[in-house]
Amino acid sequence: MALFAACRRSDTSAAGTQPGSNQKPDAAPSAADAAADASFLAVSSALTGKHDLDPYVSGRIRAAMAVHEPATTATLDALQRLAGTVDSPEQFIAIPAVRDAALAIVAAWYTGTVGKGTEAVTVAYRDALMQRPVADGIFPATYAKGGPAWWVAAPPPAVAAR
Amino acid sequence: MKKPTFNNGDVEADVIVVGSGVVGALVANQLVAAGHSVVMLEAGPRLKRSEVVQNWRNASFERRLGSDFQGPYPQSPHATAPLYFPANDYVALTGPDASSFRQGFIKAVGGTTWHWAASCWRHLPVDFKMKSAYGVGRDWPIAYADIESYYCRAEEALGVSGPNDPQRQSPRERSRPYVADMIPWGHGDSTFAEVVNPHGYNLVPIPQGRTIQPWNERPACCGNNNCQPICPIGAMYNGIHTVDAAEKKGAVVLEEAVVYRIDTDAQNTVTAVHWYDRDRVSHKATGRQFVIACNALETPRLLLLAANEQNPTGIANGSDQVGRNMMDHSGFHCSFIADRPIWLGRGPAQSSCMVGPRDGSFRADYSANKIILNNISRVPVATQQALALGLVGDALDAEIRRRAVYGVDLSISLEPLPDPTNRLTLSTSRVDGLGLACPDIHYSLGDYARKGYDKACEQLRHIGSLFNAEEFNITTALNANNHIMGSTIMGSDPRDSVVDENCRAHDHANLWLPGGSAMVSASVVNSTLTMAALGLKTADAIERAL
Amino acid sequence: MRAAALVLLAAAWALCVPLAHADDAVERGRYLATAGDCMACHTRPTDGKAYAGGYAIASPMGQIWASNITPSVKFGIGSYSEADFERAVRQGIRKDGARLYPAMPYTAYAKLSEQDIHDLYAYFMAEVKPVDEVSPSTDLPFPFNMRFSMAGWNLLFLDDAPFVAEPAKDAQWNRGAYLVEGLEHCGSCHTPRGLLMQEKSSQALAGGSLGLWYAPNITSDPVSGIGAWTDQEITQYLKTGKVSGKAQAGGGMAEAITHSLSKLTDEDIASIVTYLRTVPPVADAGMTRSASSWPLREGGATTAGEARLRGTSLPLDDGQVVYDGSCASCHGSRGEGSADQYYPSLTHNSTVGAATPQNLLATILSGVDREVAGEHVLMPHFSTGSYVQPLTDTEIANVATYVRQQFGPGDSVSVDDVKRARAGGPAPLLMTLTTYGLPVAAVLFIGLMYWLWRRRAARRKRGL
Repeated sequence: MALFAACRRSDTSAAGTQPGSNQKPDAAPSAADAAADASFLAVSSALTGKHDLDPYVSGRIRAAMAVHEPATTATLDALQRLAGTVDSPEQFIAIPAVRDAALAIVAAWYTGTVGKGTEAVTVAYRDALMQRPVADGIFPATYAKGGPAWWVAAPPPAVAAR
Repeated sequence: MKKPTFNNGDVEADVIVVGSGVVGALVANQLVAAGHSVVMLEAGPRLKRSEVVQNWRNASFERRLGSDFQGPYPQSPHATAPLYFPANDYVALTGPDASSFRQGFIKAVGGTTWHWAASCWRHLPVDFKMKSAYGVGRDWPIAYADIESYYCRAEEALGVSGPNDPQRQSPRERSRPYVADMIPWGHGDSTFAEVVNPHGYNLVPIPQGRTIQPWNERPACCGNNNCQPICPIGAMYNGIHTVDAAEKKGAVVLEEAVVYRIDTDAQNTVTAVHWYDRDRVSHKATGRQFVIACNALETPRLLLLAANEQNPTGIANGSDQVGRNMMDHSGFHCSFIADRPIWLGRGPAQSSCMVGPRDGSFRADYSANKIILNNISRVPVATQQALALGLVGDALDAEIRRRAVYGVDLSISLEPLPDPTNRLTLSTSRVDGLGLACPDIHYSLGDYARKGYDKACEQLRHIGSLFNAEEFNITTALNANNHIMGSTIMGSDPRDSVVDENCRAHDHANLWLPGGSAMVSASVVNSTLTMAALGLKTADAIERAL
Repeated sequence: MRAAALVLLAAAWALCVPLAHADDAVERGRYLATAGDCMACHTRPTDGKAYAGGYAIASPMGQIWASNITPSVKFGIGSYSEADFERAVRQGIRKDGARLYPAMPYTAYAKLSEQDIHDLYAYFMAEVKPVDEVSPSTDLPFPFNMRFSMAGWNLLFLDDAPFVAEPAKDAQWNRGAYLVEGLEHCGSCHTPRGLLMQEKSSQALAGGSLGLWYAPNITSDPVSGIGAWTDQEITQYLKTGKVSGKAQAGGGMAEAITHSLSKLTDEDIASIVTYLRTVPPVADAGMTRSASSWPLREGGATTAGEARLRGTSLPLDDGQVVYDGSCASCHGSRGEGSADQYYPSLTHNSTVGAATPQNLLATILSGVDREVAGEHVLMPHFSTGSYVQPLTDTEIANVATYVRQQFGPGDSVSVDDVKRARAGGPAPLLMTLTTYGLPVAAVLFIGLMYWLWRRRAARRKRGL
């Protein structure tokens, strides 16, 4: 009778966190890291059209992609050169050479996750960009938008006021 | 107050309860309150709510999108439960509808109600008489009237808010009001009702194990929208609340205690159960009355594992029905983009449900169904779809908002009939961390429910049309709903049933098997309240026996 | 004929008036009992019958049981005359002559007017339902079980004269003084106490420790007290127990709001506010900023929000991890609270920003429970038996430190602080002295006796 491999212990404190995601939260970056982080943040702003991105999250996405998304990481130099030349996110992803990498970075910011499967790294949940478009009406699960029965009130208009 | 006595790692008490989920906890709580000594043996560990909340938030987008509700729960190495991301092969499924029976349950103190939607439905009176009324399935040996008072007590134990307006009740026959009035609807529920109810679908408030005022020191629900996988604030009923109450009264809970053997004497009375602790040392629990409430997958598994000389085909298995007649509300989903804002994701996960298709003469031919408006935030799905369109910037934001605000997901439940070939057996090739055989399950949905699926699809297409639905989709692969039932089926004839009307095993005078496994008909509604009611009925019977 | 009718009418009216007065007295008495908040101590919370006692006040000396004050003859005050009632309420002397402990705030109720005593008596005797249930008797440790010693204490500290209006002040101020100093007995909690547990009148309302909870400084000092609060804020606090984005009542104050203050008339609340504004300011040396003005940086947000935690395996008892797992669902990932402030923000929160973390710890350990106008507000507690998650001493110390540093004055909370809070808070000096002082005194006494005896023996020996 064979012991089946799948019956293994889930690490109690890290169940739900994935191998490869144990990043030290407060390691001080080197000068080279700092420059790369700044550059990645600039690229991310250009790709998302948002200028209040969290530099801390930016650093974590860049570090996770260095491990889990080599193709995207290899394209970072090109992205950085192009970041200053485009006027909008749409223009940016219209450039075929960097399109895939660009969309990968956008996806990372919006979903708060880098990578797939058991290697995926979670970098944001509460503040993942996908929550912003509906933040006037819905919060991400596990964060209460109001006191009891807050949901009885009428929701905001479907098209957000600008 | 009597307390269990320990002797060298063994324990003795009036009542031994195996399994600390909602059913085991309710039984233990009632019996310890009545002054008896009670031990609860739980295979899994104790949990920290905040840890599970963190695990969920730390889960990858992919796992949350895939509803990996099992993943955030730590498991003990000796008490494996199914996992799906990736899948473990604790349960091996066979049969034409194997993939529809991929169940999720939690082996930990407090049981599976750590992650549920707290939907607390009653069976209809006719659900107890499927054979007499519709010529299909089996009749329960009890009627709705016999269990009605237990439904009331279960609602009080779980703190259920439900509609006190009879027009919105399903069923309407009830002798006491709900603990609190219904959880109020949000925009989505109300909008849906306005559209579908004129067509007879009868969208009604779901009775739920939570309240919007503090109740019994339990905080009020504030719509964290995270019921499955876990309520972050303990507002939703979790079995752990009843375990805590029992422990406060003097019940002893032993966690990471995996029962594997059951001793019987010459009269086939149960004398003891044996368990492995976390160091794999075996201990014995002796008592006068024994309750096994491990859910309808683990209870029959244990009964079969514990086959002994006197009971070679398994404990309580003189009928050969242990592990058979397995049912679940096999289900599926329908999603579409509506023509008006619905704003799912505001409030608790499931607050309204169409019960029109729940009953009717058609049940002689095909399965009933119920259609839940799945009030879980559409943002992750909307994001996945919007990203797949290659959108960025403002257009991406607008599309996420559009799909989240206008998107609809319906969760449909079907009613399989009890079929003895849908059964659990012990694997001959796979064992768990303790060397105990893993479960194999054969499952076939059956024509009755398949026809019910087709009929439900008609209804869904109609509903979609009422919303001028875009991107209308009905899943064809059925999913499990974790409402495992039938595997120690109740009946008055010991030749074709395992337990009697009080969930006492026909074969063993002091062995009780309350819970989903005793249920004779699935109906289409979530089974927990019925399980809880059966547990309380069993507790009353045990009190009389003690 | 008409004259006779008039006479009859007059007689009838004369008869009716005392009855009408009797009804009025009961109604006034009901209001007075609400203002005096008799309910809060004399009724067991959640399941007790009104005024039947069975509720223990956790005093630093031990548990003091509030008695049954329903008109039950056997177990309550059914046999009390009005004079007996007055003696108990204003002088702290029971009908059987035993002294009450000043947990019963007779030192404050001494200010009540004769009319109010009369009305209270009428209410308790006529309207309150007699409950034939015995309330447990108080049994404090020696020497506090010697009730007669209260006679001496009263000589020193009880001023049993009824309230006398100050002619220089207007009616509203005087009404406020009467309520604050008398019926509402605010000083019982909010005034610091001296060595013998007497209220220190020179520091009236400057803050008092009640074991687990701390009743804050409510003098008119703008930094240490409520001098910078607007009239509207104080009014709202008294009526509802909450000022959004500033303060919320917990512990004994939540009880006072639920049972008493939220039910006072608007005029009485306005009177209390008028009086409170004139309470002499007492500054707390340690406080540089008012409690609701923290944190210093705008937005109050942590620099990384919850990003520091995501996808990492920080230890489960890390302060921010505990905050995120057990607090952030309601209080927000940045401490901002819910948009409707049903769950208060932790920034600009007078509990979080108070001079000491005492009330923050009390809140975590006991939760908050208030009911005003049918709305029941509950924050669950995180102590043993929590519906959410019992937290360990380390977890509480770490999360309290996190909260104080992110949203408050920046100090830390130790595991010892938590242990002390769980045990009921720091003991007053009197307790410590009697706990240790008595055995020391006994030893000294024995030593003195022995020395005297030896001296006498020695003298005898010398033939003196």
